[in-house]
Formats: sequence, structure tokens, C-alpha cells
Amino acid sequence: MKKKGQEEMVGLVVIMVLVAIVFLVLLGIFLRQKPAERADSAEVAQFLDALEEQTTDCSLDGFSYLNVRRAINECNQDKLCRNGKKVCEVLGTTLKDLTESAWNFNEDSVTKGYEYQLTYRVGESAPRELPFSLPTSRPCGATVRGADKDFPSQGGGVITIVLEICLD
Amino acid sequence: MKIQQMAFMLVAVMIFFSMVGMIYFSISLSNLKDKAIELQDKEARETVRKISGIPEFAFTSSGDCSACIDFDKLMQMKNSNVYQNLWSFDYLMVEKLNSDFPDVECTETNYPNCEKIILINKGGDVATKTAFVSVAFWDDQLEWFRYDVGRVHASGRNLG
Repeated sequence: MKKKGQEEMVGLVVIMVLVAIVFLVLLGIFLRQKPAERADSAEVAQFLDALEEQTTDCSLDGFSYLNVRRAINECNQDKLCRNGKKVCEVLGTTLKDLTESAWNFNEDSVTKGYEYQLTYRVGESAPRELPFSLPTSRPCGATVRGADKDFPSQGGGVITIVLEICLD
Repeated sequence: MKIQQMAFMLVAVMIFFSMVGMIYFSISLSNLKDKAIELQDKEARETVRKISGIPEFAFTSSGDCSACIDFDKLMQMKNSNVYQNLWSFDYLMVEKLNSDFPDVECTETNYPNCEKIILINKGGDVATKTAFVSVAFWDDQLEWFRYDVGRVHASGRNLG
């Protein structure tokens, strides 16, 4: 009778080990499917598409005003607007004003804040940040959604703008 | 007695595995639902954005922004009843972001010192889908076209 009990115990342990293995395999699969650091957002991508045409308050010649696409290029060359302000400064203000009109950022809202990144790279070289302070409401947590967009630079190379909306 | 014990164990193991399976499938299904909602949302946004490609809305005065919505044209269409039933929308509104005239609806008297143009409004509570677009309009100060980021709000049967 005692031996029979032992056999049943061994059977139970074998089953538990099997179940534990199945769980570990499932856990492994789920962890591998862990979402990327930044979830791509169609909304943010649309915003960046619309943003590139936006007219800024910066003019180089006193007649025509730069759009955001061109301002990013001029900012990369650290140029000044006709009114004496840096192109980068005007660009930063434009991005800040538009982003804060597009979404409602506060701790009670779904969207808590945002971060911009603007980098310039030529060929395979390491990207460098553009020479201006990027508008950031507050550092993002782990859950962000966003998009990026490439602009061809006047001097060759590519300028990439990244906008991330913080959800926590 | 031994057969009873074995049968009991078998049933217990089967129940256990079916519970694990149910948990797995419920998680998978919830992920699938989230993805379906996300795709639906993306499709609706794209449909709304396609409005900027409608010839009646498209900005053609200058060749540098083919994907822009012509705000001046919208203003011309605003008071025409022809457009109320031309598209299958219950509600259609285009607004400029970061306007100096927040929440001011455009009329013949205040244009262009306004923020939004409501083209179609068939009344009732509407849940709108939105999409970001570029809007273009003549700016007297610039003496050229000004381009702003705008947002289209639309509601209709085809938008989900």
C-alpha cells in the first residue's frame, strides 16, 4: 500500500514537472513577443507628414517664410533668420506649439508628454543631434508610441525627426 | 479502486490542461482584438486623410503641396447645400491647429480670422474619426499661401 502511494506521488511529480515545462515554454514565447520599445503610431506619422509643410515665422530673405522641412535643413547649418533669431530657436517653438495643440498633455490625460529627436547622418556615419534644444515636456516612461520621418539634407545625408508620445 | 484513482487523476489532469488552454486562448484572443481595433482605427484615419485628395478640397493654386487641403475652397463650399449629400458623411469639419482664434467657427464675416470650418453637420451625437492634414490658405500679411497643420474630423457610415 505504501509503495502504491509512492508510485502515485512520483506520477504526480512527473505531471507537475511536465506542466512546469509547458508553462516555461509558453512564457518564453510570450516574452519573445514582447512589444517593441516604441509602438508605431499612424496618428503620429500623419502628424509628422502634415508638419513638414507648416509655415514658420522665420524668413531668410524677407520675402518668403521657411516651412518646417526647410527650417530643419537651415537649422542643421545653424543659420539665422532675418529677424536675428536662430532658425533652430524658431523651429523649436513651432514644434512645441503645434505638438501641444495636437494633443492634450497632462498627468490625467492618456498622453502624458512628448519627446522629439532630430539627428543628422551622412552615409553610414554615426548620427549627430541637431544644434538646438529639442522640445520635451517630460521624459517618457516605458510605454511610448511614435513615428519617424526622414528628410533629405541640402548638403547630402539625411535628417531624421522622431516624435514619441509618452503614455506613462 | 486503482482504476477509479487513475480515472480521477486523468480527469484532474485534463481539467488542468483545458484551463491552461483557455487562459492561453483568452490572452491570444484579447491580443487579436486589440490588433483588430488598431487596424480599424488606422484604416479610418487613412480614409479621413484621403479627403485631402478629393478634387473639391485639394489645394491646386500652387504646385508645392498636392496633399494639402485648400481652406479658401472649403469656405466657398461651406454654404452650398450641394455638398451636404455629396459624400456619405454625417459630420465633416476641418480645423487649423495652433490658431490665434481658438474655437472660432469660420463665417463669411470673420474669415480668415477663425479656426474651423464645419462643412457637413447632419445633427445628433456623432463620434468622429480624426486625421492630421496640411491646410493651405492665402495670407494677406505674407502675401503668399500659408501652410498650417490641420485636423479633419469626420463621421459617417463608412468610417466605422
